[in-house]
Amino acid sequence: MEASFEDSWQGRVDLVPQTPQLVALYTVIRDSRTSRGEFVFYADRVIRLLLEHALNHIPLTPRTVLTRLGAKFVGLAYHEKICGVSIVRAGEAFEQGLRQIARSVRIGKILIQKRESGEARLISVRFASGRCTSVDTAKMAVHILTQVGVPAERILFVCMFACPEGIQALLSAFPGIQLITGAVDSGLTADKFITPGLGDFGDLYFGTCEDDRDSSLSFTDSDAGTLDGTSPHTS
Amino acid sequence: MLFVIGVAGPSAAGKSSVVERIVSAIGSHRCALLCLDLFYHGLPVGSNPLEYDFDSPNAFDFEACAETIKVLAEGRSVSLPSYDYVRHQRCGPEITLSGSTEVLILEGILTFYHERVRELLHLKVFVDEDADICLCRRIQRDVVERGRAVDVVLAQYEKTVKPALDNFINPQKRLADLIVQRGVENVIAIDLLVKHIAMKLEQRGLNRLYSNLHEMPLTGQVRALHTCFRRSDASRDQFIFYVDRMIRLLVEEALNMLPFRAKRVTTPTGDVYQGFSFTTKLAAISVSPGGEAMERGVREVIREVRIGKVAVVAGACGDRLIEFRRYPPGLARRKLLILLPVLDTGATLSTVLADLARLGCMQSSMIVLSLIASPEAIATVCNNGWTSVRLVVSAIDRGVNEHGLVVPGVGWFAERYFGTERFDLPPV
Repeated sequence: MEASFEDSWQGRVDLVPQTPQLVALYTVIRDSRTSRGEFVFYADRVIRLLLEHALNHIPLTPRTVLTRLGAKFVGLAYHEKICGVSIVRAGEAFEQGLRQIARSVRIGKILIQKRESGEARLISVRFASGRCTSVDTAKMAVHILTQVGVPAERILFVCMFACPEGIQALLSAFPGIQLITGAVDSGLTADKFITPGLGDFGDLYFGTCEDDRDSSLSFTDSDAGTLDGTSPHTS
Repeated sequence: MLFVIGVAGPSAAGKSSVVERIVSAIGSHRCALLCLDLFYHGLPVGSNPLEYDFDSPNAFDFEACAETIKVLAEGRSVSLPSYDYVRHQRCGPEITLSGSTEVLILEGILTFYHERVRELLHLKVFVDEDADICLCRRIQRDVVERGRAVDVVLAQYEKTVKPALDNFINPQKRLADLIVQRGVENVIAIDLLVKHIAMKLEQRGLNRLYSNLHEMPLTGQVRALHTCFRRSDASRDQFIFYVDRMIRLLVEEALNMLPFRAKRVTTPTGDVYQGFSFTTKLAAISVSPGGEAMERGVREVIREVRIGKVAVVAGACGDRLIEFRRYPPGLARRKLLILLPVLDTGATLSTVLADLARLGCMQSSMIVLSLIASPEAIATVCNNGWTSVRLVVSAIDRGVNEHGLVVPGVGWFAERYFGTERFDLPPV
C-alpha cells in the first residue's frame, strides 16, 4: 500500500514516518471529544514535526567546523534562504511552528476564499507557500506563487492531511513541487472534507465553530505524567 | 563493525547444518566461521584419548578464543593452526580469517560457557535436539565413519559426554537469545534468524551491535543542527537555540520507545479513525548539571511531567558518587526518561542507572536521552549488564579524550548552555 503510494508519485510526496508517536498525536487531534486546549497543543506538536521533517528537503552544503575541543566535526550547513507562505486561515496555524525553528523567517500570506459554488477564488496575496484545506485552494496558491516567478521546484507544500485525490490533482497540475504530509487519508466526503480526517482544521484550531470543546481554567491534574492526550472526562 | 554470532548446543545436534544455512543465506563472502574446537588445549602427552574429557570446559582455551575474536573485531586478519582430530593437537594446516569480514560465527558445544567469550557475542543461538537422537547420530558417525567399537562409544558417552551435556552444555540455554529446536529441520526458526541477521547488517555502526541503542535517523536536519551548535564560535544564543531544537526532536523520537495500544476515535466528520494512544505513567530524571537543559524540551511535549533530579560527582578515587537525589513518587511504576545530554565515559550514567535499579526500577522502564554519546560510553553501559535500558542518541562521536570529554563533541555542555564557562580547554 505504502510502496505503491510512493511509487506512483515518484518521491514527490514525502509521508513523514508513521511512528507510534505521530499516530498517537493524530489520534488526539482527530478525536471529536478532544478539548480545545488539547487540540491546539497536539496540533502544534504535529506541525513542529512536519516542519522539521520538511526542512530535510532544503539543500544543505557540506561544512566542517572546529569544536571547542579543537577537533573537526564534518557536518552540513544551511545555505538556502527560506520563506514561509501561509494559506489563510488554516495555514496560519503553522506560523508559530515555523518561527520556532527559523526565528527570523519571512512569512507571507495568501488568502483564498471559497465561493458558494465551492470553487476557490483569490482574494489577496501578500507574499508567497503553506497548507491546504482543499485541493482547489492548494492549486490556486501554488499557481499564484508560480505566477510571481517562484519555480515549482522550490516550493515545499506542507500539509497535515492529504488524500489520494488531492495529491493527484495537485501534482498533475504542478509536477515540480514537493509535498510533505503527516497523513494520507482514504478519500473525500461528499462535501469535500478529507475522511476520516478531522473536519475543518482552521475552525478547530482557532475555535471559530460551535462546539463544546472549551476547556475550563481549572487544573485537572490527573496524576500527571501520562501521555494520554485525552481530557479527563473522556475515556 | 563485526557482528559476532555464537552457536552452541550438544554434539551432533545439528549446529553445523544450521550454520551452513545461515552462511548460505547471508552470503559466504560476508561471513567467517570460527570453530571452538580450534581452541582445544589438545591431548596432554601420554594421555589416552578415550579417557580424556573433550567435553569439559577445561579442555578449551577460552582466553585465546576471546583474543582471536577481539583481533577480528579490530579489523585485523588472524591465522590459526587447525585442530588435528587424529593427533588431538593444534597442529593442522593454518586457517586464515579475514579482518574485513562482516559476520563471525563461532560454533561449538560451549560457545556461551565462558564469560570472556560470551560478552563478545551479539547474538546467541542454541541448537537443540533430543539426547537420544544426538546419541544415534554420534554412534553412526563414530562407528561407521571413524571405525570405533559401539561399546567404546557408549562408554565415552556415559563417562564424559552425558555429564558435560547436563552440567555445562544444556545450562547455556538460559543464556541463549534463540533456541532452535530440531536443528536444520526447523525452517521457520532459521528463516527468522536469517532475517534478523540481515536486518542487523543493514544497520550502521554500533546499532548493529547493541540492540538497545537507538541512534536517530541521520537526516540532513540532524547533521545541520549538530553543525550549528558544535562549532566553537557559535554564540551562546545560537548554541541554546540549536541545542533546544535538537533536544525537541530527540524527545519526540524517544517517546516512540514507550508502549502504546490501539485506540479508535470518531472524527468530527463522523468517521472512525483507528489510532494509538500512550497511557504509560512516566517521569523524567535529569542528571545535573547538563540534564536541566533538556527539561524544557520534555516539558514542551509532556506538559505535566514530573521531573526528578540526580547529581553525580567524581569521587576521590575516580569513582562516581551521588551527591543529591530527589525522585518523583512511585518511581518504580513509571517509565523513566533519563536526561543526560552528553555521554562521555558512561561512568555517570552507570551510577544513575544503578541507583534507579536499587530503588526497584526495571531496566526496561529506563530510556536514556543523549545528544551525543561516545562509543566507549555505549560499550561501557551495554557491556556492564545494562542491556535492556534503551539509549536514544542523536549522534555517536569518535571517542573520548584524556580529559574524559567526547571528541569532536561540544566541549563542556552544561557550562556552554548555562553560560558558566570558567576556563578554556587546551586544544587537542
